[in-house]
Amino acid sequence: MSRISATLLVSGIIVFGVIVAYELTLMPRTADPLNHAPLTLRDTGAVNAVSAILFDYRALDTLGEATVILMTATVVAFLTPRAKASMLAVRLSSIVLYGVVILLPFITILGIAVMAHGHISPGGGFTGGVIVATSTVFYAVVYSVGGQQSYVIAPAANKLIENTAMTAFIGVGLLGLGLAGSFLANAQTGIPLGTPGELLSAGTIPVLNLISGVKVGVGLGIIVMSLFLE
Amino acid sequence: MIVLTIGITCIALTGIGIYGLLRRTHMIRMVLCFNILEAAALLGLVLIAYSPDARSPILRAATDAHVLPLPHALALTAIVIGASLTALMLTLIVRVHRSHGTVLVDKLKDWRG
Repeated sequence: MSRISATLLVSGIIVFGVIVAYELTLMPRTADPLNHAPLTLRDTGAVNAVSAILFDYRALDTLGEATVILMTATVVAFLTPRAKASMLAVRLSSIVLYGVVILLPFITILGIAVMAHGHISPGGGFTGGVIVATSTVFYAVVYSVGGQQSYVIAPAANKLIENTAMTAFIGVGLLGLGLAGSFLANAQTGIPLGTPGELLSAGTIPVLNLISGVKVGVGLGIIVMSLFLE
Repeated sequence: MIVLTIGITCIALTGIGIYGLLRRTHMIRMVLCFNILEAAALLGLVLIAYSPDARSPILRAATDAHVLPLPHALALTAIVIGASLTALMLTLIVRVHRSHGTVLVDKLKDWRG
């Protein structure tokens, strides 16, 4: 690329930035004109308003989002051949080997706690699922030395768990369809919402959080392990 | 002030991302630029939701002013889609490297399909 076209590109980007900056100054800076907090607490019983949107108001979009991860895991596992080679040729020191074993339960428990508290604190199924995937990938990377492979969960079981979680998500949606007449209905089904802020509250939101957490954790495990085994 | 700082960062990241996507020929660097663009989009979403006199959308007290949670939910969706796309792009780059022996776009001039 010549110097002229590079100059044109940079100036185009600067013009774009000026336009975006001008648009941002036009945006209203008022704090939530609709005052959504009482409405969210009444409709869903969830303290975390982001979780309320993801798993109640727009739960159908979250189902689509979960499908994206399912499709990615399927396509990545399909495109990468089942190589037996491992990235690491040397054995790691015993500090790493024992450190992983000591850390693993804590990472997993942290992930499950983030999943289970998704409706009352920041976090949720997707965040917790990523933390759980970290622990399983960590173990597989450290203990798959040379041709030998070690897993917390076998690859075949991974796919079974992911498909089961996907089916469970759709099952919760069909439950809402049967009880309230709308797919993925929460409060309309008559499920008690409980006191906002308690662990057992917000109807189906914690259930969907746990299901999507398992799905994301296993799906990311499949994706990373497929790339790792190349 | 914080709006200005984050806004300038967002626009600068967008510029870096677009420039890199058009100028780099190494595929993995193009994926990195794609991720920089994604970070700029996430910063923009958080900036749209931000309001100086409101709290994060964890509704501990219903009477307080909270920022709108919808851009945050969209940001979470964007993170998930971005991670999936990155994984797919890296997989395809591995395939290209295996079949053509290079990940430079310049060297793939005769590439069809």
